[in-house]
Amino acid sequence: MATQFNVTELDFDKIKESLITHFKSLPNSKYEDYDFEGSGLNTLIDILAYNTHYNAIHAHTAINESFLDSAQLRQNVVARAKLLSYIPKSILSPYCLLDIVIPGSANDEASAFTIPALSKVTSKIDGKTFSFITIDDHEATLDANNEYVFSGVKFYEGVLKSQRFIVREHSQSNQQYILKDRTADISTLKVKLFDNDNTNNYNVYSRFTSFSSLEATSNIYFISETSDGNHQIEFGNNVYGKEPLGQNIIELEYISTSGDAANNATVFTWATSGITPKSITLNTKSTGGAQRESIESVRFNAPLTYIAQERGVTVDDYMALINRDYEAANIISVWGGEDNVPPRYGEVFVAVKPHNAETLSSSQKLELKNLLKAKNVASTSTTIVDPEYTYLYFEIIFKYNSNQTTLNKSEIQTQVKDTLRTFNLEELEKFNVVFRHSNLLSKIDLTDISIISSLARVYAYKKLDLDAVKNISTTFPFNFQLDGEVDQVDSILTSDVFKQNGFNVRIGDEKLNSDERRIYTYRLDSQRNEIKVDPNIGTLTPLTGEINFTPIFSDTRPIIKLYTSPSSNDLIAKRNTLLQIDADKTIVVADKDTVSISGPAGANDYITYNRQD
Amino acid sequence: MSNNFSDNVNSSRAASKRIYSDIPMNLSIHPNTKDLTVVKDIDAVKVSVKNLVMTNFMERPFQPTLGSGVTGLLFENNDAFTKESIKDEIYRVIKEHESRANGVQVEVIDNSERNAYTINIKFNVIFSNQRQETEFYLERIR
Repeated sequence: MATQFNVTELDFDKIKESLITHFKSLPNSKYEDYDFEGSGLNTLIDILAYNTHYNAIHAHTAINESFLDSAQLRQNVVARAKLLSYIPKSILSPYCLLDIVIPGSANDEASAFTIPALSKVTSKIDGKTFSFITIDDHEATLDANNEYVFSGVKFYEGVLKSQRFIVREHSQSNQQYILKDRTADISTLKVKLFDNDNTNNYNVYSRFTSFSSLEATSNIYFISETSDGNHQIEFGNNVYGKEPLGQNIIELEYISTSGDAANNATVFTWATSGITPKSITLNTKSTGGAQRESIESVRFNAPLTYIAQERGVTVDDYMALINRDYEAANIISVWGGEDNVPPRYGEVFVAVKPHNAETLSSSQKLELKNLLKAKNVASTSTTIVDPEYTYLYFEIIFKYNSNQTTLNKSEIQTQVKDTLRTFNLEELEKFNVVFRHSNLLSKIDLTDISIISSLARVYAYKKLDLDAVKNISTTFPFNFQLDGEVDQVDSILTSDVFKQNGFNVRIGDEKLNSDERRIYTYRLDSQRNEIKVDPNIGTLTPLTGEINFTPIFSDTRPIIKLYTSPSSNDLIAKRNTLLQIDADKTIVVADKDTVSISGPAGANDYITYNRQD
Repeated sequence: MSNNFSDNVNSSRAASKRIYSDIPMNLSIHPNTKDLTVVKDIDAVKVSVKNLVMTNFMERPFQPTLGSGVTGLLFENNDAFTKESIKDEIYRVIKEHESRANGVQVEVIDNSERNAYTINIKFNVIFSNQRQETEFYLERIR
């Protein structure tokens, strides 16, 4: 009896095998030499199988590329996202804020001075010079010191470029306006429409965002990413938005940027002739630069944005809106006030980690708050909070078989540190994530084939700004149970050294009651005995990891680190907590595995290590 | 045709029963039935042997090692080494891919006045006592 073809096969060999099995099963077949590779029949079956394989792969790929979840080519992911009204973020220009003082005189005729658009400063990062420009005019008036003081002048990295198009007479010409520059930061795009080539007067068209205010005469443009990664500008049809007329001139003006390569610039040199500032002071280093949005990011954000429908109602809505509209955001956490500790009903909390910086500047927070204000549900308000960083560091001891590697001890140790950095980047660079101790050990074991086993003792620290706590009581949560008993003699906390009353002091703690320990500062005398300097600077609850500081005085006001050890090896980053691994502070020790190297004879020399030091 | 299996069956069945049957590589049509002709038994093996020798590596889809490299050898100098290489290639491809032919003997005859080699292959097939022989021409086509 004839066998059925297996139509689900994709693999050439399997298809061929299926064909041969089918032909073999046919009764009274005229041709029978399917099995012999040199036969003409086998050659013919090769062609049939190849054709089937080709069509199957083509159909499979075409179906895969038709869905947002499975598409692999960027152009197809973008096309699917476009159906959800999602435009991927282009490359983004980093910007810095500078405070600039221009010397003036009481005799100045005008009482105001303008730093014009396109004023330029330069900065060097890793030996490469980047230009930063203003895109708006900035004006300041003469102050009492006969100076023009400009605070927070925004400079974008890159150069201003423009492309022009003449609109053809016939609207049916399918004319396309494509901005052929992949370095174009679309968030800075300005679309100008001139009546003709002989006039300098123009109308500015704005980007389409919502149907609510769209009319036939609205000066709006639509933008989308093309299949080759550029951007296409489209205009209305006199029903939704105004259509340009023949001979109109369209000018696309934008900043061409280097993206994230120009982040973190701190030292700037004035590079605009005709103006000589007295001083340029850094207000905010350059941040916000990023490469164009990745395929995976588009895949994640497009459905969320669609669900949000321009309104901030659920947590996902807020995340989608911020992801789409707030370019500076790198990672985002949003939670309702009811989940906050303590609960604050009617508020939505938002924590944002920007690109290449730890926290948003105050101007960035205001910008974000204003952005969300228009989308909030009435009666709720948004509170922007900084990410709370908890840094993890370890004592890592691993056993290795020196016969299985050409690397020396220090080279393997360096590789393990690199593994830590990669783990941090891949697993922890997000909110609401769990640090899984066993996963880290697995990654360490896989670092090199010679590594047999590993042990990691987990420690944590947070940064405490003494300047911020000099006058006010502060709650300082570790958000995990600390390793130690309430009544133990040794301190659960320790800190960096800082100065009080001229003494070098550290932070320690002792039993206060059945739940809490009192925190104090101490110095060491010549016999290294602890002498308390300030006997009470707050309380510590080991069970919750919460610390309540009273105002702490200190001679200088540095940022110090507060060290402890968590009771669990696994940690969760809730709400606005971000876990970061400090690989530089981590101690990595490589120890030869004597049993692996020498067999049973090595057992006598085998050293084991305690869970805790 | 004299072979082992026909000795063991009666003549009418022997006439209809085939051990091997293949399509002709030139896709020739039977003059009466207008159907594709059938290449049978020893002829099928001979066609297969010739096919294998004339197939280049990478020619058959997903089977890059199926075939021989004799076409490439036609561009080498016409000397004893090249002839030996051609012979080795033919031995190898038949041994690896044609289980029906054994006792293979290959003769590469110089035909240099026509820029070609004549290939003569002798082999045994499992169902016949007679030694089989096939001969074809290897010639550069460019």
